[in-house]
Amino acid sequence: MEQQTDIFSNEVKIDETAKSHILGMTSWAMIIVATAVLGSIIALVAAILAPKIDFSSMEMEGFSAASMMQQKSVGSSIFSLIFSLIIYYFLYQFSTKASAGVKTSNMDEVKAGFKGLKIYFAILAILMILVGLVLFVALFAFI
Amino acid sequence: MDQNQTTPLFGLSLDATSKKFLSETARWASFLAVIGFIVCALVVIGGIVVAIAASQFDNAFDSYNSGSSVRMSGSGFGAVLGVVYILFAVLYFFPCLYLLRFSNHMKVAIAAEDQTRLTTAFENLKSVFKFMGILTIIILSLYVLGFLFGGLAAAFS
Repeated sequence: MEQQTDIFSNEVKIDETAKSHILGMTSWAMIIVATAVLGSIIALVAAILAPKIDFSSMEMEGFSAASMMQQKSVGSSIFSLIFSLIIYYFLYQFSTKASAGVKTSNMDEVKAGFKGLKIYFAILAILMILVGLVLFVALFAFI
Repeated sequence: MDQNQTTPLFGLSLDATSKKFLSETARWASFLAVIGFIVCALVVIGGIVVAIAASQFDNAFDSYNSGSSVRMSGSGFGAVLGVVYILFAVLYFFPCLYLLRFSNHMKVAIAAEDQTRLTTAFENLKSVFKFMGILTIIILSLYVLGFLFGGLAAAFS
């Protein structure tokens, strides 16, 4: 397909209004990254500091139920933290690069930001597909 | 400030690579929005089913319990749960709508080189991030409050 390179052509630009929207987007994206990662860290701390419930009467093959539940909770919190760090890294990349690119009128930075945004959406979509597949399999396993 | 040499003559123009990234983003966004609408519909159906099932359980429990002097009824809980489900669906509907609007506007903007559509697409994506940002702040605040109250309750018990 022929690309429009003529400066008098009707090519799309990131005008002042679009710039202000992108800057707003990047600010909110940074807030999402910060709160999501902070939430995962708090969940991990809560799982580690959670008071152990006395399930001594429910010994299960040498392991107490309380310690098993505690380990499971800490493990899932660590998994959740790692997972959110991977996902939100790309949103962070979008936020920092696109913001810097728009402020300095550097299209390469803006492009890097858009790439981060694309990867972020792709990861979310693939995650949705995987969750859907797991639910689908689980549904048929129960039927 | 020195303007970067990559700046086009009339500001930031979208080149082929940027268009490709935005186009792919729009496609993934469209997929996520459609899945989101399906989830919303399923949650609404789930809420209605839970509310009906809980009210039938309450009726059965009430009729069983009618002869007893002890009144133990959980009536209303199912309805509350159903309303919570539907509220969640309504809450989740709006970011999906903004995401779909972003996707549609962006696809047209890139295909037809439409400046207005491009701006509208970015505006809608900003709304998605704003909505999700406010939601994550609220959820985190509730989480921190729960953590603090739980810690205080454990300390004073």
